[in-house]
Amino acid sequence: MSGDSKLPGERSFLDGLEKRHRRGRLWKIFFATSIIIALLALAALFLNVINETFGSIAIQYEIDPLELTGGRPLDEVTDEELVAIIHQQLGRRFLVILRDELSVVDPSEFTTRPVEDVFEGQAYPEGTGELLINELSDDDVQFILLNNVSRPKLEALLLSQVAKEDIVQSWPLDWALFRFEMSEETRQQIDDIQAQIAQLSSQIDDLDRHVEDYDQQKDLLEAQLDDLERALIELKNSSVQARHYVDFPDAELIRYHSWLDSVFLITPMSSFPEYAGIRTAILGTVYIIVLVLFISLPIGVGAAIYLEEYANDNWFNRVMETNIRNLAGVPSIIYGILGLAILVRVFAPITSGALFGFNVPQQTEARITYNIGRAIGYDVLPDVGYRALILGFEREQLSTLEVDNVLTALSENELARFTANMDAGQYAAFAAAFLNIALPEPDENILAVPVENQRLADADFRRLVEAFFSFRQPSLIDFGLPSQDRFEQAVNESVTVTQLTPEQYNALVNELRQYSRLTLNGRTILAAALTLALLILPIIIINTQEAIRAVPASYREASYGLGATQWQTIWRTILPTAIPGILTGTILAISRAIGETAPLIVVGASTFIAVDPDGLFAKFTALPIQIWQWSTRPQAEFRNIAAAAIIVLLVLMLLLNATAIILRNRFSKRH
Amino acid sequence: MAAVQKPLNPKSVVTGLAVELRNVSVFYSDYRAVANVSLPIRRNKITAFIGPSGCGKSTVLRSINRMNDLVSGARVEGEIIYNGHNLYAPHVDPVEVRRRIGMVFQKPNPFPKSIFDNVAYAPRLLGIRDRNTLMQIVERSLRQAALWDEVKSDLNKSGLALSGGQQQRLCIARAIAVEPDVILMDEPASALDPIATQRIEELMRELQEHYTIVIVTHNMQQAQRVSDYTAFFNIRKAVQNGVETRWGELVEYGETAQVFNAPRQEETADYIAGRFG
Amino acid sequence: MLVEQRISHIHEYTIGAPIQAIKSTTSDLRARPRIHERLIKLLLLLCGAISILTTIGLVAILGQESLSFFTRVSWEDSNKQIVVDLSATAVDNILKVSQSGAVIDSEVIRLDDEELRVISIEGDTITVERGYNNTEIAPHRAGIDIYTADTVSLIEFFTGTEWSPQVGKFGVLPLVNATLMTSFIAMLVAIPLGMGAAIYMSEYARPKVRAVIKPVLEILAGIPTVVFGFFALTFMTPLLRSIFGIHNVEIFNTASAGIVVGLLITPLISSMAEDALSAVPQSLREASYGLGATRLETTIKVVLPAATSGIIAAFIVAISRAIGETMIVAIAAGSGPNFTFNPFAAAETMTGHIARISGGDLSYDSIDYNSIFAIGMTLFMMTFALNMFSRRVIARFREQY
Ligand SMILES: Nc1ncnc2c1ncn2[C@@H]1O[C@H](COP(=O)(O)OP(=O)(O)O)[C@@H](O)[C@H]1O
Ligand SMILES: [Mg+2]
Repeated sequence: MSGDSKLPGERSFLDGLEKRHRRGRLWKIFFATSIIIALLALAALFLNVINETFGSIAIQYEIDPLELTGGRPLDEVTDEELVAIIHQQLGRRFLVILRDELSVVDPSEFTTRPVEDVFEGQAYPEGTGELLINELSDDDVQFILLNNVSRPKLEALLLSQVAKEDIVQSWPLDWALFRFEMSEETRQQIDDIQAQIAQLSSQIDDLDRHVEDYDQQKDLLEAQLDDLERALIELKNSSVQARHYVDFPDAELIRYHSWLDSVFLITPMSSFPEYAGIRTAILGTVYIIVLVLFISLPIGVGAAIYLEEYANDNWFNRVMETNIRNLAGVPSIIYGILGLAILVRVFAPITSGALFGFNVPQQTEARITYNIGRAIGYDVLPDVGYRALILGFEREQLSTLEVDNVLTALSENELARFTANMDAGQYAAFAAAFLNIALPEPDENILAVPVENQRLADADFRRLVEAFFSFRQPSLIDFGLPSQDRFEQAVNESVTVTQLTPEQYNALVNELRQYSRLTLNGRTILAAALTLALLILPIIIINTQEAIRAVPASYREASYGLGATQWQTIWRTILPTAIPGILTGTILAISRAIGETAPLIVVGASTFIAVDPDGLFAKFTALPIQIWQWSTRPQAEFRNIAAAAIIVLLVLMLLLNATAIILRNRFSKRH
Repeated sequence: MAAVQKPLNPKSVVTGLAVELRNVSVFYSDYRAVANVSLPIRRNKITAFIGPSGCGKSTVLRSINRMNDLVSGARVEGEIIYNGHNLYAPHVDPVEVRRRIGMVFQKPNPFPKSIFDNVAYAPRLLGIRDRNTLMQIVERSLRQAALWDEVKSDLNKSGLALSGGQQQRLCIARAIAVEPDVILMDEPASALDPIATQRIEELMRELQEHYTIVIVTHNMQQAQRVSDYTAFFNIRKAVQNGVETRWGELVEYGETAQVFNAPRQEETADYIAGRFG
Repeated sequence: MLVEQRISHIHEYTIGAPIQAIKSTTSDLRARPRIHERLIKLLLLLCGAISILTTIGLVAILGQESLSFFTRVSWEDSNKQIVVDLSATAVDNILKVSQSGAVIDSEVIRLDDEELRVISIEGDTITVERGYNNTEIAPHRAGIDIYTADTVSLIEFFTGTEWSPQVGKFGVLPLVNATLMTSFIAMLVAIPLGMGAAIYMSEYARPKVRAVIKPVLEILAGIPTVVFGFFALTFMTPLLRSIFGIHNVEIFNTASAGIVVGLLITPLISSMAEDALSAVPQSLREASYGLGATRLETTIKVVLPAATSGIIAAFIVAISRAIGETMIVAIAAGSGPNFTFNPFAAAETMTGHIARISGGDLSYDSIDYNSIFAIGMTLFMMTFALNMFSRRVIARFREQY
């Protein structure tokens, strides 16, 4: 038999075997490496975040804190003295602190509501409850800050608002650990180089004064200078201390600084990384997630029950099943687009809360009044007394802190026009009201704008505006767009129609249409939550279906056998048994929702919100949105707080998953 | 694992025994499934393993070509001697062992490939690429497995498209394509109908001329008709600290005629007579 | 909440009453209509139908807004003038136009407020239909400019290589190209890594090792993508720049984003592929080992081929995920469409573009607003087709065993 064998001989078999084993070992190494790379990537991801969250910083003050305290260390200064220093240094801006830190009313009402409302639930001097904030004495306002703010917060206020602390440079943790110290030698070298640079520079300056003839020599020196400067850059980048020594010798250097601390967690946003916190983002995320849970869990479980227990095999149910599976694969940003077009826009009256009387636009009334005027060719500016009135502001507001509102109501051009029509005295008063905000000089050209000849009487115009505003609250029937008939009627009642040309009338209706669309802001927590709920619904349904399928058929049969109806069987037998599975699936889906960023961006998350969200219809931001925002900022310090926010987000997810495990164990023990 | 220094080549050794089990015990983790089996497997003979279900027949069979290596936690004590080598010596390469001691499983398991590719699978592993050579090997193997006439017209058909009996013969053809020395068959006919079973039984007799065959069967008639030697395994029980442990043991080994007609052990006689198992 | 209220209802009816009911009607076994049971069924059906509504909403909104993107007219000054006065009569249907200016190729032109449909053009003579689109037929003086109507054509959209809405260029190719680049790089990373990991776990790792590795890989899959984006920008990009030179690699680049997207989808591939590999019956492996194959040979020649369709499905799902991935590319790939094949250059992907455009306060009915729907539609169709395809492949793979 071996004679006619076609197989390789013994020798070549054994050689071949050796080769085959070698190839096997090689590939095994490759397979194992894949896993190791994946694990390394995970480790790198975490380490990178930690590296950016902790590290060294260099802090510089505009005013030395010691100077403010008269040379005493900060710990030795009493609370009262601190507040007094802050007040003395800030002057009128002291009130801004009260408004931003303590006021519970809308900023626009800060100066118009009594102290007892503005600081409701907080301490204020006895007997001042009825007064307005502007009527308080210096001692009173100091009292309010002193008694409502903690010591660390006071110190932070002093450093941030008065001393204007500024983190000029930050280094990641690996630098703090391994590349912090500068050797004596390096210092010597730096000193040397800097001395040389100074000398060379002055030589070059000398040459500059003697111009032309010395070109060659100058080139030579400049080349030397370049070399020296390159050497200096290399040296100063060799360690934290070296950089500090060269670039920020006056700054305070802190080797280990954590960007993640309790203050970070409980302070709201800020445009400056060193004071920014994620309080509003955390609250936004919590609000959204709780809502998502309440929306998607019942619907998801309901749909899964239907598909598993009720649906028979017809085309509709098959389509539904396939559809759910396909939806699970739709990119999340597409859900964002859906949310934007339908929830934010079409359902704006609902998602903005206007239908329920929330968020009815107030701030923009000034703008709209102005627009109406323009739409019908009624030039608001030259006509109405002190325009502030027609712009929707009370006269006294102009002299208070409500500067922002006026400014946002006016574009630069309009502002120019606005001021162009004042006489010098009015302009001065107006400018003073705006404190240190620069106003454009009155423009001669604008003065030349011809005033429309076909005009309404002021009184008519005012009535027209009122009619217009009576439509700002969309009714359920109209669903956002007040019907034209009713509007016509209202206009007719306020102004004789003959006073308006058809063009003016159409422009007015158009304005109204724009207005009702533009001013309703559907970019709210509710819209975000609904979008995310739609996004995770397929995941919840699929997971729940699996959990229900895992319930042994015998349970079902036993229940029916005892005469239970279908629903009784589902409610009392199947669901309780399936709950651990449903819970796990839901939590997984929710963790997905927590980290989703793209749909929230599209739906219109705000990137900067300094006040806590106060309900379903609040504008929102969320943790992942802040991480995204800060990651893409050019300043390195924002990266540090982005990393800190990532840690918070991951911890939140971890907590959620831990809860899921605990809940699941509890439930599975019981059943 | 390095290849064996001295080849396991059967042709270099002339002896009446193909394999010899010496005091073999097989463990699955801590559980001893079979204990102290000593048994000769004679060259160019058919040896049948019989015994009640769970007595460890498959376990012993699979330990002969180190298939149990694939079960995590499985461990063999004792020696299995093949051509003077202990198969469980540290330097022995299981891949080489399996190339020389082939296996046919209880349920036909052709690869989801064509009939040709199924049979050519192992020769290709050995580095044969030439289509003609492969064709010759495939034809010879299929002929030996008595399948050639049925499939020669469509060798490109999927192996899964064959009937159960054909599939099992395909698996046999696949096993003999590399001319192994020993073929282990674990209840090769248990999943087949009577006619297919008969074909397989006839086939075994034909293969015997070239190969040493070990077959596990629970069918007494099959063992009696097909095999030259029979090993009877049985289950032993013991209660230790109130916990019952069970394991398999070899009860009797001998020529088939002797085991069936004049068993030395009463147990064997009981089993053959169908009194238990 | 709703369900709970309903339940308490049912308790009253069915649990409170049955004892008496049974006594009085033991002989009557007629099926009784159970209205509340039906109601519940209906309610549950509605829950399920929400998914259908979602899809309908998606398709309708994407379709409608894309349509308005493609039908949106913008008027452009052609710099050509009419050279003869036109009176306000409908019979004046021939225009004499100046030689200079752009070639007129649009179907509709505008003179003052009147729109005119172009019937034919011969040299400097254009035959038109007056008062198109119900515009008023009015007299026009010689020397006024002709405006041409411009809409974004499907051809321009899918073949144009420049995307700059400000100047009316709407070629989606730069965005699609960037998306394909990041996805391709991602697959280049994820296929070897994911398959390697899957094979190791399914064929090599001992159960204990596997029990540790699997959940760890799942952690990787569960990390929010914005965190991966941060990782790409603060770790991968500096890494690439230090390897390939700071001048060769831009701060934002598709390579860094693509690699990190690859890391993101690696666990997806590894877990789906591992499922497919594990589903290959052990008997096939045994057959192969029994024939003297090594582990690698068994894996490559038996297990992998048998799991092919499952593995392909994993790849498709992964590609679809990579295409739809937003945050990593939005953070690390660059903002600003750029038609380039250089992986170290910045280029904005479809998703990145949508995220950036909609990040600000997008005003409705602007061309930007409409354009995100056209891009979204493209994205949706790409991923939808891929997902459908993968489900087909998986279905076939289920049939196999
Ligand atoms: N992979 C395995 N893991 C653990 N125990 C096993 C395994 N395979 C078989 N056993 C146990 O070993 C004993 C012998 O099984 P087996 O050899 O299959 O018996 P037979 O083939 O004689 O029916 C049985 O108790 C069985 O439970
Ligand atoms: Mg067996």
